[in-house]
Amino acid sequence: MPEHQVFFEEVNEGDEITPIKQKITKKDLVIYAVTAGDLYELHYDKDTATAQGFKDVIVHGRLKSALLARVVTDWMGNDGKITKLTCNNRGADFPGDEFTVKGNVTGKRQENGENIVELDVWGENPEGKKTTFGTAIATLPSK
Amino acid sequence: MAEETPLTFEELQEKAGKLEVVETLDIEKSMIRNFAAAIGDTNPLYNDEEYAKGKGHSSIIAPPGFFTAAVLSSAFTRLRPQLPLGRGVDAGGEWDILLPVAAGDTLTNTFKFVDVTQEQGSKGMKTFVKFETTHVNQKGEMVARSRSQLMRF
Repeated sequence: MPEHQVFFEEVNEGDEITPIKQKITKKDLVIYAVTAGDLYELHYDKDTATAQGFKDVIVHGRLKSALLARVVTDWMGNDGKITKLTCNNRGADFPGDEFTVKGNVTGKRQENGENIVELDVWGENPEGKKTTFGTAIATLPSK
Repeated sequence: MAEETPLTFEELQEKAGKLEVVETLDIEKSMIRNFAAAIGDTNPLYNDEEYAKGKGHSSIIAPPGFFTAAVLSSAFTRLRPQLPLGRGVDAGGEWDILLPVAAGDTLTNTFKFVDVTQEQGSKGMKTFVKFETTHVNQKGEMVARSRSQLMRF
C-alpha cells in the first residue's frame, strides 16, 4: 500500500472520501466469527438464517462497522486517528455481494490543539440501498 | 439450536444495572492479523511489526474495527449466558477509541447491562436492551469504551 497522508488543511466540509468496495465472502464471515468471537449461527449456518426469514447467512453488523472505520483509515493515512465511531445497521447484507462503503466530511474544527474532522460514513448493497449508517470523528496532522 | 427462554421485560428491569462480566484478554499478533484479513485490510500498521514500530508502537496495533467487534466490545455476546433475550438485532453502537492497542497488551474488559426500555413500534412493543463496556490496558489506561443496544423482537 502506498504511504499517503491527508492533512487537516486539505480537508473541507462536504468533501467525499475515497470509497471502498469489498466483496465479503463466506470465508471472511467464518474468519471474522472466530477472530471476533461472535459465533452466532445466523452468520454461517444457512438453516438458521432461512428459519429467520433470510435468503442466506448475513454479514455481521460489527464486520460492517469495521469497514465503516476502514474507509476512513484508508482515506486519511496512518498519521490520522479515529477517536469515535458510531454505527447503526438498518438492513441485512449477504456474502458474495459487493458492499460499498462511502463517506463525506461533515465538519472540521480545532480543539485543545487537535485537528478534528467529522464524517458521515455508510455502506450500500449492490442495488445502491444504504444498509448501514455511521459517523466517525478523526484527528489529522497539520502540514 | 435449542431456543432459550427469554426474560420478560420485568425480569430485565430487575437485572438492569446489576449484571456485569469482567474478563482479561491477551492481544496476540495472530488475532490482529486475522481480524485485518477478515475485513480485507492490508494496512502495514496491523500486519508489519517493523512498520508499526516505526510509527511509535510496541508491535502491530489493532485496527479501529477491532474495538467494535465482539472480541472487544460485544456485551451481548458476553452476557448472553446470564441474560437470555431470545431473538434480537443489533440496534447500533458508539465507540470511543482513546489509545492504541498493540499485540502483547493485556486488556481488562468490563461488560455491563445498564438499562432496558420499551417503546411502541408500528408492529407492537419494541424492547431496547442497553449495554456499556470499558477496556483498560495493563498500565491501567482506558483504551476504549462503548455504548450499544440490542432491539428485541
